[in-house]
Amino acid sequence: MIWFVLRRIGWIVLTLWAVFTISFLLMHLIPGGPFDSEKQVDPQIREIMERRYGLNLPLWKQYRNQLYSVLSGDLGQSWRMEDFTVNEIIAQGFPVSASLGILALAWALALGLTAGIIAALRRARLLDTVVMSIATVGVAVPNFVVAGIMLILFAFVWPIFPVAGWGGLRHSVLPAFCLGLPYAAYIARLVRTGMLDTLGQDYIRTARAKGLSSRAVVIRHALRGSLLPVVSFLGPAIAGILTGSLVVEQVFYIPGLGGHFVQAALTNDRTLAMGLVLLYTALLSVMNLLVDIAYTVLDPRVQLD
Amino acid sequence: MVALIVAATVWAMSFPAEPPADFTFVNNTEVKSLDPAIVTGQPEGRILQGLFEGLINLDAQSLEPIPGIAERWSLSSDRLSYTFHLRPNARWSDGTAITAADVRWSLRRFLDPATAGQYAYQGWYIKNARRYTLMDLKPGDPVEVELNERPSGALPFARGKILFGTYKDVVTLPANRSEDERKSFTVVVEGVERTFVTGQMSGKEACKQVLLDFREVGVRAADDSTLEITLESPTPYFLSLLGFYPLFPVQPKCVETYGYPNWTKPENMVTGGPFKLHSRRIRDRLRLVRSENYWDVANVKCRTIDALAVESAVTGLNLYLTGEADWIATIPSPIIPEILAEKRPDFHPVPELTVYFYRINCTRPPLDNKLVRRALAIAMNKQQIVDTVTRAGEVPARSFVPPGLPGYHSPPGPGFDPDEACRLLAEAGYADGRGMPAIPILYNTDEGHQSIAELIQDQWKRSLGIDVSPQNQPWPSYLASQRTLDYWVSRAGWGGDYLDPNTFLDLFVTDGANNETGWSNAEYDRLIKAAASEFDAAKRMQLFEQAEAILLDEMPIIPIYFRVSKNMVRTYVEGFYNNPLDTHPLKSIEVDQAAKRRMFGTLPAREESEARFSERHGEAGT
Repeated sequence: MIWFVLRRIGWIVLTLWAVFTISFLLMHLIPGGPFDSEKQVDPQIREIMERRYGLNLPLWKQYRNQLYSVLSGDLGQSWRMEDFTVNEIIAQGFPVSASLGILALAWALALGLTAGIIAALRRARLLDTVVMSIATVGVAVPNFVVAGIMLILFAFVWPIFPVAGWGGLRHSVLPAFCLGLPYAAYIARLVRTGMLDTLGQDYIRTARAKGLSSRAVVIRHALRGSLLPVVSFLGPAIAGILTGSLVVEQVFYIPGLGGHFVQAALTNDRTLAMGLVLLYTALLSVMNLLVDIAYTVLDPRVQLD
Repeated sequence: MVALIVAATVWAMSFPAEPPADFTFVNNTEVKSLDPAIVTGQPEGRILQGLFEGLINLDAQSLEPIPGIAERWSLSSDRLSYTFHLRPNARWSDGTAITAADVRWSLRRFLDPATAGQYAYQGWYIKNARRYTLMDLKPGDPVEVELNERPSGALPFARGKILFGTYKDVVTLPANRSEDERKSFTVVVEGVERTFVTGQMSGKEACKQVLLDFREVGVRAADDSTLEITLESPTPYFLSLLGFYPLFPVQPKCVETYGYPNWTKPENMVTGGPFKLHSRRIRDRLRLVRSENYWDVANVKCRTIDALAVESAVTGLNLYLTGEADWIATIPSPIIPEILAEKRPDFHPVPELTVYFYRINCTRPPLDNKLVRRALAIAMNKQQIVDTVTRAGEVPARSFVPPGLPGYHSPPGPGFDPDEACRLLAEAGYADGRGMPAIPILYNTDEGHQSIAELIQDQWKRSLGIDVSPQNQPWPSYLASQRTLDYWVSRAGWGGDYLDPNTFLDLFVTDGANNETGWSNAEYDRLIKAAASEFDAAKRMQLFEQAEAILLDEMPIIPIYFRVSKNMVRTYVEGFYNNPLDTHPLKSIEVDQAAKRRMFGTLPAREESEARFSERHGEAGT
């Protein structure tokens, strides 16, 4: 187990380095720099500015400098928001995205698990069809459509929530609802499939034969086995949800990392884009590692080596 | 699991909602920086006009120069030297006096190449300022050598020690593995010839940079309250430039104590204008509070102002409609016709000093042929574009310089005439478009630009029989394509920085950084140059008019329409004026809170209140 974890951490470091290198090269294929605007500057001023950002150096030196600074934990100054370092931007944005993400995830899990279990137990009956139809719609309808409908209903027609902004629970309800909905729908489908699969297994029959109550069979045995696909879905989903939603954050004007992702790409903010890509890669790798470890807990048949 | 969720909920609630500000506006995006010497954009300008103040202010309504930090000024008879008399009660937000030395220090910093200000050229009207920024030295010039070490007792981010001397020559040392390219200057200091090498390396004498002696630049502090500025040539719009944020003074002590960018942090920042920075959350909100040390604090009505960095125009509108924002600087294009039809009292688009145009690559045949360019221009139905695409009351452009500049009348450019366009194209040898290559129209990815390009594609196909393909590129690539002339026809926009035709017409001088069409005309260059040194205002305008006539005859560009401002401002906001530069000094803004309460029932938005629900209806219908 320890050996497995250590080896995986080694791979994570290697992955981060590869992602860094590829991102670095890709970003260099984009022309221009942080000073690009409709109003062109004098070539000499341009040269001065390129020097300030180290863009006058040969590529390998730029690579070396940026790698050194990233390794020392300094992601550099943002190109677009020059008053801030990328570290400061992430330090301010991550808690916002993460707290919104956890709320959304909690809501998604609660709804998804309940709906999935009900659907599985009422298999092929009306309730199953209804729940699963809603789940299919939930997966298919994009966030911004849900957000628009929610805003019309709960911010204009019946104004109980603010239209946008961040600060307190009232501001998080609508965005967390919209952000969690597709996840809830997906989880419901996974749980239903997993439950149906497990309910047919021999050990469930054994449990029933031993005279356990239906409730105990479902909660303790069937649900546990059917959680495996949910857990493997949740790993990457958590990484995604913690680093912010591109759409929901924009619509609800939430100062999280999702908006930074979009703007960094649109405005050629290379240092910020690099910082966010590395953060996402690290989170994703760590979540995947946790998923693998969780497997051994949930299913004794799985062994790590 | 449950504990985690509870913790997250508590955490989410722990982001405090501040009480609403007296005035809140949507600033469209997070500002690039709050250092006036660095930035160039309009969102930055909206904030910096509140935080800082120039020697001159621009009147919120007429844009006439009015006294700012300087209470009065005089101009010499050769129109080259201004003498500014600073207010005795001009104060930084920390209560210390704003002196002429502070202003001189700020101008030097602004022009210093190490500051790397993109707008540095706004200061190049000052004598020798251009040479100072561009390190343009000739043997025998007096220079200042900035050493790496600071004078003893200096603040942590002060300039290095300065040696004055006479410049002899410079050699560029080639780069090697361990060091980058560096320069070796030979300077005579106090009769002794010395060599200074840029960089931190030991060995030879090291220095940071060698610049023209700043005492050669036309900025002199005669005493604490008198500043003299000498110009390169008479510049009628120089006072307007002083009212534009790049030349706003900043406090030397603050900048030298914290350095850039840390001096712009709320806890460090000292400002010279009506407001100071209270707090700043990235891509969220920036809060300004009134500076009680400001000389005219009695006339600053708002105590707090919030600027929201809302990127989405729809979200901005939602905030406006629910009373959480009092001014939005733009509204989503699709709803403009609807809003105009409603004749709302809070939406008055007015023409702005901004032109939307197409650049034509004049180096690429057949576009190098003036007849072809003219044919393209007059085959374009601009009225249809403003009626069906932009729809906010934009004005179809027949000239490049927008109307509304005092004393200037653009010569009439050609109008829409498809028959004449066909004839011109035939005369150029491409009757009915035969032999014309397919012409791509380049634009940066944006629905609005795309709709216009598609409409023009259709118009050109119909009238001239030529094939056109809209071609979109992301912003950085689009700018690079324009700069390197790697395009056929390209969408562009230009907003004036000051109320003078020069801000538009000096673009197209040969090899101008913003020419980007490859077009060159000796007579045009001569006229623009002559205008720069013309004393007589009327004659000067005539020179510009002649120059624009050449531009509209040669058509290296096709003006399409003049933009209108899209500010939506609540009627309870006073002191807000739509003007051609679309600048709105925060100082003059006043909010009638009683009227606001009447409109929204109770104080809207972030305030804690359960009673709010029932009382907020009225708005959706107004």
